[in-house]
Amino acid sequence: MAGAKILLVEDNVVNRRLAEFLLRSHGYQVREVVSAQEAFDVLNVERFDLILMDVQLPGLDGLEATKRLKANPATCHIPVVAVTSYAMKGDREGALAAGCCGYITKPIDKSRFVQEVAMHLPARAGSPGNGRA
Amino acid sequence: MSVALLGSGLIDVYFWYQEQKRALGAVQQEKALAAAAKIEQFIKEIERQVAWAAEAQIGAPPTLEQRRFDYLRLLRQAPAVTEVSLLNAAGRLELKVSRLAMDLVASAADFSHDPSFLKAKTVRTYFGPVYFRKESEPYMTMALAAKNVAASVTVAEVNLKFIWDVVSRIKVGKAGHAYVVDAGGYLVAHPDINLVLQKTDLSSLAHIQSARAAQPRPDERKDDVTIARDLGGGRILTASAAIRPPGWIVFVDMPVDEAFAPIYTAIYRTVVLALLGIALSVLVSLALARKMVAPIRAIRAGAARIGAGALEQRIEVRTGDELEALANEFNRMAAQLRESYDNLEHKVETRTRELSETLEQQTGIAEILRIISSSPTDIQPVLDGVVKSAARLCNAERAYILLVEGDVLRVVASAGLPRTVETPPIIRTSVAGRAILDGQVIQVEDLQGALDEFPDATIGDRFPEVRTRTQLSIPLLHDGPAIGVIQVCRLEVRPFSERQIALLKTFADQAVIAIENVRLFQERREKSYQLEIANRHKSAFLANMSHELRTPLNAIIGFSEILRDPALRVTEEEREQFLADIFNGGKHLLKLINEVLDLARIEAGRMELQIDSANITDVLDAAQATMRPLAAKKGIDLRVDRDGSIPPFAMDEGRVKQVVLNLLGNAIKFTPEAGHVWVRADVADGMARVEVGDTGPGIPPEDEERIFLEFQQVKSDGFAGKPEGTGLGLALAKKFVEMHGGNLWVVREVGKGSRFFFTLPMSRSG
Repeated sequence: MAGAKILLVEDNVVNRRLAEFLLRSHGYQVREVVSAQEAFDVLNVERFDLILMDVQLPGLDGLEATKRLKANPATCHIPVVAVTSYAMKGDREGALAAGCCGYITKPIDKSRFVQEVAMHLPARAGSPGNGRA
Repeated sequence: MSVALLGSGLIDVYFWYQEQKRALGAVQQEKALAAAAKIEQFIKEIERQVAWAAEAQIGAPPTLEQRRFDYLRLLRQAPAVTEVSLLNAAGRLELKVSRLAMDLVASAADFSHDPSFLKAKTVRTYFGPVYFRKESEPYMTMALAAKNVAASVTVAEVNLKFIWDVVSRIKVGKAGHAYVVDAGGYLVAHPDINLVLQKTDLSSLAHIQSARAAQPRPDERKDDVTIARDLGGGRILTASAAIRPPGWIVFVDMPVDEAFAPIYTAIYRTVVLALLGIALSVLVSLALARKMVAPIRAIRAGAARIGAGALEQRIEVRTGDELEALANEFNRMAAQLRESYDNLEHKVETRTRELSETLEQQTGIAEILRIISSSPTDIQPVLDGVVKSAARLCNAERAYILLVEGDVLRVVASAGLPRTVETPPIIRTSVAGRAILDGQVIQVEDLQGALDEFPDATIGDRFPEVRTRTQLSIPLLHDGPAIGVIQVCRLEVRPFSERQIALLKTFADQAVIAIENVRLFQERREKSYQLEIANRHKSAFLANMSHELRTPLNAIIGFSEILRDPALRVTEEEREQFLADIFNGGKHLLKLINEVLDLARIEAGRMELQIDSANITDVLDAAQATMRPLAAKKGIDLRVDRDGSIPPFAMDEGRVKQVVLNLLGNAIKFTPEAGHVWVRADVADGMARVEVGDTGPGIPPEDEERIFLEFQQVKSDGFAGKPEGTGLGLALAKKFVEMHGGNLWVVREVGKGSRFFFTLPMSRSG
């Protein structure tokens, strides 16, 4: 397996570029989408080991999308890590309640971001290789 | 009185009776004593003569012849002596000389055992018992023992007719009589000879016994008169006197009936007189009673009726004396009572009416208070309650509450017809207006008579036939000028009382309190609502700020870290991109900070516009120039429709340009490629009006209001290279326009893009 497959749901192009680069640099395969609806569409046809979900999405927001994924038997097993710039009190609890297993706040810390993703990847996905290092 | 009269009469009679009895007794006693003295003298004379004959003459013992001679002389000298005998010592009859028989000499008859002989021997003079000769002549034997002739006894037979004569001669009244009783209690002499002849024994009679018992003391004079019973059982008044030598007693008796006849007559007279007096007094009493009691009864009955409450009753007494005066006093008292009662009743009635009025008013006030407390947010029920109570408790046909609204009054509550929605002006020529302007209670007793002073018709007076005559206006006062007026009207001339005015003042106070309560309540609710909004806004603002700061920082920090990490392989192309992202992030941050500072200044009231005269068309041209490269990138046609006729006017040129830039930026951002964006200016209603339009998708209806709030931006499809909006731009633009005195709004045409307008006043008014 040439590295876990991660679905990145993020509407902001700059944020998407940053996360994609970091994940790619650590050997993960990244699929980028800009909305929840697009994520649902992609998940219908592809299999992912982990989903990085921005909370502030246009239309259906990230937490609502997570709830739907968790309610769907086909996707409920995929770990979802929330990414948010709302670092206010209660946001973390809201994310966990919606079904997320991890919670990353912006601005992201490079090492912690990578560690958080690795921690929530299922074991079979294997340790990411330092592909581009 | 009769009893006293009778008593006094009886006492009088009693004493008189006693006196009379004593006097009668004294008379009888005198008679008895006189009789006793006569009889005693008679007896003593005979005794003396017999004693003379018995004694021997001086010298030698007398011879029989001598004796005979002496005895004959005795018979001659003492006619009462009928027979004289001489007994010698042996008791033998020696000589007997008699008027009736032959003289006897020495008959030798033996008298030695005869009581006259024996007693004479012992007591010298012996009085024998009375005896009768020829069945009619009372006789007594008298025997004397001679002193000088030894043992001879002279016995004389004494005719007691003399005593009978004495006794018979004693006259005591008509039926009274005297009689003599001897020592043994036998009758000696009595006017009725038969009684004597029968040898009547009187010793059993009480007065005889008591007289005999008193005998032993002979000289004692007895004054006592006693009442006793005679043989026949009749009551007698009796007196007695003793005849000493023979031990006899003279009694003088008189029947009590006769003795006391005058007394009884007197008593009878007295009693009759007393009875007459009593009868007379009774008659007089009755007459007096008729004269006194009837009016007194009338007065008593009248007083009772008056006492029972019949105060109209008058007592009719026409006696012309104190009773009439008394009755008149009663009448006057009743009249005064009537008057007092009437007074009292009137007072009670007045007080009761006042009390019930007060109670009604208190109830009215309490009712208003209840409405106030049960309706803290709505003033209308309170005002309705006030006018209803005011009309009812003040007996007014109409009642209104009018509140000041700017320059006019508005009827907010009314009771009675007509209901009206008039809005009269606040002027001194209307009662309500003057009450408000002066802050004084004004009552006009007759509006028709005060047309000079108040020519302005009062409200509700559109119909002449039901015009208000008396009007009272009470201003609603609360810290400063009156806020309204309570007005009560009567269709007849009848002024409102002080009490009613006071009640209405209370109602006015209550209405003011209620209005103030509701105002405070709403103010407080509004404030707390605003506070809540502000709080929520503040929290949202902080969250949004955090979000908006973190997004550019994410790029700045993230890419800087990557570029500094030698372990990460970054292509040249990637490096350029990353550096551009860092730069744009920094710029975005700066813009954000500037806009936040502007907002903070505006909200703190410290933002000052740099006002100067400028040409709006120049501003639009400058903005277009700035935005043209951005529009060109998307192939958007950006056009300015110029209107050179708009004169320059005062504005903050920089801020106006910022507003236009923001609107243009949004328009370009949301308009698809090859679309159109335009900006134009014109003049309407003295305001310059700027329009920014596009051919984009338009604002979704649900976002129409939201877009003017801070951090509320409609997400764009986000094409690369364009800095993200801060979300503050439109809010800030709106505030800048409003600071100029203009307005900013959006007109949505479905499917035809958006048209934003803002206006700016062309003449600054201060």
